Amino acid sequence: MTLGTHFTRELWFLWRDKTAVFALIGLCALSVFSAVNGLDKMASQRSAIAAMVDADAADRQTAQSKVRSFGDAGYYSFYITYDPPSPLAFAAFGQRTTAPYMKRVRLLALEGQIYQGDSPNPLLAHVGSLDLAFIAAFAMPLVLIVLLHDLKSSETAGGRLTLLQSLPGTTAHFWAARVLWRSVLAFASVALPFTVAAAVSGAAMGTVLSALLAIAATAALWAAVSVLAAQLSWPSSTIAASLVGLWLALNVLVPVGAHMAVMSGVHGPDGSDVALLQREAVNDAWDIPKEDTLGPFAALYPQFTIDEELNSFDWRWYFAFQTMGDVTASDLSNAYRQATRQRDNLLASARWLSPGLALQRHLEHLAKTDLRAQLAYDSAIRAYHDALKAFFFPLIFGKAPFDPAALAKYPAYEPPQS
Amino acid sequence: MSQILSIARAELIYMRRSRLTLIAAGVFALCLCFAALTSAMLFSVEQTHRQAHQSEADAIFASQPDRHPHRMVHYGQYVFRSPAPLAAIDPGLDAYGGTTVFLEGHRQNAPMFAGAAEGKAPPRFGQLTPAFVLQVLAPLLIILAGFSLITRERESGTLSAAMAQGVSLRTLALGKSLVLGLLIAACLLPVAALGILKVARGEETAVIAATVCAAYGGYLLIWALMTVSVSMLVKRGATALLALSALWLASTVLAPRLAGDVAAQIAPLKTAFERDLSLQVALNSLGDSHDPKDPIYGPFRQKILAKYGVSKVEDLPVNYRGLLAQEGERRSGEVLARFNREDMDARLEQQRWVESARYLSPMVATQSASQSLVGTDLRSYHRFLAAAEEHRMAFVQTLNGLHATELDYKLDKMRSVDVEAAKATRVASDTWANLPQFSFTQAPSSERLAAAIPQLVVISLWCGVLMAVFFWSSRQPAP
Repeated sequence: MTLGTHFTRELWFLWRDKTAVFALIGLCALSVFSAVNGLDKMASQRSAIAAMVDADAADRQTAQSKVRSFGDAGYYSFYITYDPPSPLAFAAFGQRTTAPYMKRVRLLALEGQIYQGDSPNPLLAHVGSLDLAFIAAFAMPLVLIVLLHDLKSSETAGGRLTLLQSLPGTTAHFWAARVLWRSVLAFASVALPFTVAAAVSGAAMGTVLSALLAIAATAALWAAVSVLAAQLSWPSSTIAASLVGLWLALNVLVPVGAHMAVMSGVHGPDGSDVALLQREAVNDAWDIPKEDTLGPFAALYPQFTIDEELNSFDWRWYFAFQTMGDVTASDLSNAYRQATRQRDNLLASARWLSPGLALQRHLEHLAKTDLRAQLAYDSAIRAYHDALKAFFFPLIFGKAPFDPAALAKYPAYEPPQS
Repeated sequence: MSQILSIARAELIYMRRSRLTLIAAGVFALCLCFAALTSAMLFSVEQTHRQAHQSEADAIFASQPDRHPHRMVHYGQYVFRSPAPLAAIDPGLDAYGGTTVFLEGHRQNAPMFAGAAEGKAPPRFGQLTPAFVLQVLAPLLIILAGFSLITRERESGTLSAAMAQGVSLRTLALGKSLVLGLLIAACLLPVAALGILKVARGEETAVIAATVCAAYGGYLLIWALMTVSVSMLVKRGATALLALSALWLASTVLAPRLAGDVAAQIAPLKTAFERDLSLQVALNSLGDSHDPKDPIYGPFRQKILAKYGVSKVEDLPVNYRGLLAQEGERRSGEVLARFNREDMDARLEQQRWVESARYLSPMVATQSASQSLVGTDLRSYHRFLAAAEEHRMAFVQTLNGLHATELDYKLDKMRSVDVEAAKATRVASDTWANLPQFSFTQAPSSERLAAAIPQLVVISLWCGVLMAVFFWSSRQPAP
C-alpha cells in the first residue's frame, strides 16, 4: 500500500471514530466562538476609544470656554490617553480584561491620577475569558491526548494489532498517517479560525506566522508525548489518566505554584505607599513657605525661575508644587513598577516548565496584551504628561497675555508603539 | 447493608494496591495541604499588611496641624479593603478589585491598586487555594479513583459472576461509592480545619464554616455520583474516563469562562469615561457650593435666612459657607449615589448572566456559593465600596459641620486675602483624630447565608438529579 492510500483510508477511520470527531468538532467550535468573540470585543474597545476621543475633545472645549487664564486652562483641561488593541489582541486578551485602556490626565501631579481608571467588573476578570490563547494552550493539548493516547491499544482491543503488524512494511506508514492526520486536524481546528480572524483583523504576517509556529510547536509536543505514552503496554485508560495527569501538572499546577512563589517572594512598595507620599508632598506645600517649593522647582526648570513676591495664590506656584509632588514620589513610584515587572519576570521563568504558560505568554506578547504592554501604556501616559507640561509651562510661566487660541496647539497623544 | 460495607472494604483494599490511584491521591493531598497552608499564611500577611496601611493612613490624617476644615475635606482620607477572614479558603474576587480608595469632598474616586494590575494576577486556572483545589482538582481525583469502579468488573467478567451470586448492581455501586464518600470526607478535612481555626479565633461564625464545608461536600458528591453512574452506563473503562474528563473540562474549565464572555456580550458595561462625562454634566448642574453667590443656591439661602429669621447671611448665628458646603455635598452625594447604584446594578446584571450557567455547571453554583459565604463575591466588594462612600459622606459632612459652627463667617470670607483671617479660621488639630473612623466589617453571616441560598438550592438540585441518575443507572441490566 502506498502512503497516499493510508492517508485517505485513515481519514475514513477517523470519521468513524465518534469520540475523535466529537473532540475535533468541539475544539473547532470553541476556536470559532473565541475568534468571533475576540474580534467583537476588540472592535468594541476600538469604537469605545474612538467615541471617547471625540467626547473628550468636546468636553475639553466646554471646560476651556470658561477659563480666563492659562493656569485655569491647565487646571480644568483633561486630555485623553488610550491604548488601542493591537490587531492580534483578539486572540489573547491578557491584561486588557483587567487593566484600564483609557485614562484622562491633566496638568496636576500625575501620581495622583495615573492609578485611577476604568475599573472593569472584577467578577468577569475573575471568571476569565475563552480567548484563543487559552484554547490553544490548554484545550488543544487535551484534545490531542484524547485523539492519540489509544493509538495502539484501540487496535489491540479491536484485535487488529497483530494483523496490522503481520502486514510487511506498512505498519510505519499506517501509524504515521494516523498520527499526522489527527495532530494536523487538532492543530487546524485552532489555527484556521485564528488565521482567518487574524486576516480580518489585519495582523502583520510576521506575528501571525510566529503565533502559528508556537501553536504548532505546542501541538507537536503534545502529539509526541501522547504517541510516546501510547507505546507503553499499559491499559489505555491508564495511559489516558497519566497523560491528563501530566497535562494537569505542567499546565495547571506549575503556573499556579509559580504564582504562589511570586506572591510571597517579591516584595516592593505598595501602590498606596506611592499615592500617600505624593499626597503628603502636595498637601504640605500649602503650609510651607512658597520659596521652599519654588527653589527646588527652579533647580529643575531654570527657565521657569520666579523672582517676584507671589500673592497668596498663584497658578505658577500651584503647578510647581504639583510637579514637585511627582518628583518626591518618583523613586518610590519607580520601585513600585520595578516590583510589578519583577513579579512578571519571575512568573515568566515558570514557562520553561509549562508549555501552556509558554504559549499563552508568547501569544500575549505578540498581541501586546502582556504586563510589559501595560507598563508601556503607563510610560506613554507619563511621556504625554511631560509633553503637556512642556506645552503649558511656557504659557503659564510666560508673560504673554491669555489667548484661548494658544490652547489649540496642545500636543498630540502618542499611543504606545505597536 | 453488611454487603455494601464488605464491598467498600474490598474496594479499599484494591485501591491500596493500585499505584496510579495512590500516586494521584498522594499528589492531591499534598496540593490540598500545601494550598491550605500557604494560602492561610499569605492572606494573614496580606491582612496585617492592609490593616497596617489603614492605621498608618489614619495616623497621618490625625497628625495634621490646625487647619481650615475645608482643607481637610480636600486633603481626604485613604481607606483600605481588608481581606475576608476566610479569604484564605476562597479569595474570590480579591485580586481583581481595588484595595484602596481615596476619599475626598465633592467627588468619588475609583478604587485603585487591584493585585491583578501589579503582576499578581492569578494564573488562568486560579490561585493555589483550597477553593481551587476543591473546585477544579478534586473532581479529577474522584474521576480518576472512580471511573473504573464498575467497568473494571464488567471488563474482567466479575460483574456477571457477582450478580449470579445475588449481589445486585445497586448494592455493588453503593458499596463502591462509599469509598468515594471517604475520599470526599478526606478532601474536606483541610477546609474544615481552617474553618474551625477561624471559628475558634472568633473571626468567623460556625454556621458559615459548616455551610462552606457542606457546599463543597455537596459539590464533590455530585461528581462522585456522576462518576459511578457513567462507570455503570458505559462498557469500557477508557470510554468512561474520556466521557468524565470531557464533562470535567466542560463544567470546570469551559462553562464559567463561556458564561463570562456571554455576560460581557449581552450586558456590556459603560466605560468609566463615558460614565464620568455624564456624571460631570449632572454634577455641574448642581452649581458651585464654594461660591456663596451661586444663583443655584439662592432658594437654599432664602430657606436658611427664613429659618433663622434674619435678612443677611452675615447675621446668621452659624457660618453660611459651612452650611452651603454641607448642602452642596448632600446634593452631589445624591447624584453620586444614583450613579453608583447604576454601576452596581450593571455589574450585578452581568453576575446574573454568569450565574445562569449554574444549571450547566455545578462548579459555577459552587464557586458562587463559596464566595458569597466567605464574603469574597461581587456583593461583598460592593459592600466595601458602599462603606467607603458612606464614610466619605460622614467625615466630609462632619468637617462641613465644623465649618458651619466653629468658624466666623466674616473671617472665613476674608481668609484667602488676609493672613490673620486665615489663621483665625482654623480648627484645632486634635479634632482630626475624633472624626468618624472607617471600619469595614463583613456582612453578617445571616446575610451571606441568604445570598448563597439560591446557589445552595441549585447544588442540592444537582445532587438530587444525579442521585436519580445513579439509581436509574443501577437498575438491574438485562442478563
